[in-house]
Amino acid sequence: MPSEEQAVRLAAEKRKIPVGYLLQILHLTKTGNLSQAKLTDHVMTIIRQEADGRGIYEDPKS
Amino acid sequence: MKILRVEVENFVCYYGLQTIDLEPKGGKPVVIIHGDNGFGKTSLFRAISWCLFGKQGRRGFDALSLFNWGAREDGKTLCSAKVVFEDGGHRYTASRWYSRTGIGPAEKFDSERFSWLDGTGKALPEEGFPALMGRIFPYEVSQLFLFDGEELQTYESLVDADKDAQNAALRSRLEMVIGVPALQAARSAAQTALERLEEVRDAAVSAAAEDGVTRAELAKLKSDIQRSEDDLTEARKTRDAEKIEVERIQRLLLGMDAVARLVREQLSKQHQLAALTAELATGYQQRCDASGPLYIEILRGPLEETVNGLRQNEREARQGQTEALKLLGRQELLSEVLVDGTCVCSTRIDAGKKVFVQTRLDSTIDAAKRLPPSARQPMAWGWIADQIDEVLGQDCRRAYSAAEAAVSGLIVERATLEGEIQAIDSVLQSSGKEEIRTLSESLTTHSASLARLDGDIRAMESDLSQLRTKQKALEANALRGSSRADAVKNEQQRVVVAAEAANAFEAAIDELRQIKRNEVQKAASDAFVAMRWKKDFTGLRIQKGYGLVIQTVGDKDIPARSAGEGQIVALALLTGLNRCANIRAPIIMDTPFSRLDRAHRRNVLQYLAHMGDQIVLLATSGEIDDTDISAIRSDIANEWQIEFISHGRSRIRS
Repeated sequence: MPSEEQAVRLAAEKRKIPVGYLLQILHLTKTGNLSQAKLTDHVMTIIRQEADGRGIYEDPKS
Repeated sequence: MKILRVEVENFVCYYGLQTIDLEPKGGKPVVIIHGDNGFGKTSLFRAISWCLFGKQGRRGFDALSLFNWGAREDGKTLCSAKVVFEDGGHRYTASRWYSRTGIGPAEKFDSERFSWLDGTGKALPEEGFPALMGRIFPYEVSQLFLFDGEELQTYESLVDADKDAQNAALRSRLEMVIGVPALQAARSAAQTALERLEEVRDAAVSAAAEDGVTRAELAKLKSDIQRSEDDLTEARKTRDAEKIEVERIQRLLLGMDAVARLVREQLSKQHQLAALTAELATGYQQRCDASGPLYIEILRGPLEETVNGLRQNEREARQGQTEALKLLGRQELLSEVLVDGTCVCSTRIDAGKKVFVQTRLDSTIDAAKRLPPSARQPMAWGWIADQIDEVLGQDCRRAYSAAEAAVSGLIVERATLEGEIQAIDSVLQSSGKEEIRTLSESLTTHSASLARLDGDIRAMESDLSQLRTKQKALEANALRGSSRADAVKNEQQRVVVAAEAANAFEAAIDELRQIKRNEVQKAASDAFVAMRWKKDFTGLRIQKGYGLVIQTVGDKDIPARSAGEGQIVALALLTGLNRCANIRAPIIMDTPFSRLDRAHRRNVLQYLAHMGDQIVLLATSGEIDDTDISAIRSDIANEWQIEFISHGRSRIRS
């Protein structure tokens, strides 16, 4: 397992957050050969999919 | 990545084309290039760096600096460096060159040119090369693994890196080798996405704020609708109560229908009475008719005598009629005899006999004349007698009795009916006609009230329907508002996730540093232990900023080290980095042993093959000798000698 992926898995595990979308972003960053604008667009798409998959945000304070 | 071959043409001190094969072969990773100072070792070093990375803003890479002086003098037009390398099974050839025209003051250099080919000789787009190199052998990494002896001294300062901010650039290279930039890029991408998503969320929040007006209007409308519904409910209750009252009155009036039924029954009986009276009149007539024949009974004796007399007369008349017929027959016979003059037996009668016959005829006529008149009407006597017998044959008494009985029955029946009618009339006289009237009036009042309430309710329902229609329209707006509110939540969720990603990558960078620090520390310690000669040096400890500290027995730090020990530490660090790096890069060292004593040099040489997959050592004759070479012969894939012919005329031979 590449060290970056291992590090991301460790960080996600310690924070108890899903790791799949983080690995998607990492993979995209490492191998995408994308311009900065396109990279940002793709990362936003990944984040949107992850966020939308979790459902409507409920403010923990409310 | 492995560098397989380097070609230089009219490059610095190399006149014409020179080729050098650097490919590791047969598991032997080391290639040694011998050359004393000024022969052209560093020029080869520069050729590789320039070909792969261009100027990169460095001095000494302009056309005038790189073009071989003699070649320019001879009018050569090309100065180039070519590197053949492979990565991941793919072979590439990169070429960079300057071209020139003219001589003397007219000499003119074209700008730097570059091309690269794949393994089949197909030209590839120039813009793809930096991307490939950025992935397999970044410039910053090349700065780390392509070094000369002087740069090695810089690495030695890593021992004190934790307290030397000037080594930030060097640490940056180290982090690139271990893969931190990938995570930094991911963090940066997540951070940029976070900022963009925050902008989107803020826009969504602004849009959602406009929904406040609609929500207030909807709240008021809902209040109005609730009030209208309450009013309608109240009205319906009143209407229902009124309806119940109307139905109650109707039920009461329905109960009064018994009276009506009595009236109808009385009327029916009165009709029956009328029919019965008519029937009785007929009965009286029939009795009257039956009473007439009763007089026959009084006259029955005389009438029977009369009948007997008439029967006698009839018999006598029949006898006389028979006799008359006989006489008439005889008379006709005698008359025919007299007329015909012949007897019935056709015998002719004579005159005498005629007289006799005439006499007989006359007596017959006389006899006929003597018959009584009654003998002439037998039928009349019999008919009269029959008529009287018929009258006398009737049972007049029984017929009269029957007629009388019928009349009597009808009289009794009529009396019964009259009694029943009288009884009904008595009941009707005592029934609640007044109550019916009161109830009817109440029913009228309540029915009118019910109709009015129904009208009111219909109007209220219509109003309520309009309010609800308006409510639906507002709710549609509110729903859009709700969607916008949901959009805010969604965008907030995305912001949360983006922040989570950015933070996670930040944490992952620390995790990676820790992972790699441990890996590099172990690999560097192994290398250090292999290359050091002081046996009480047990290893290296890598610090947070990648500074290295020599450790002795008991993992105790050794605060000071010699210059040579520092060089060993630096080589150990490079070894550790190369082993643990995500990027498999060649190590090309230019005169790295200048400050090492013989024992350490030998140790380093013997460890050279373990430093990486491809080691190119450029060394002077003073650094390594034949004995050193003999000691590592099994690790050497190729060995080259740079020959100095004259200034600007170096050449490479195996």
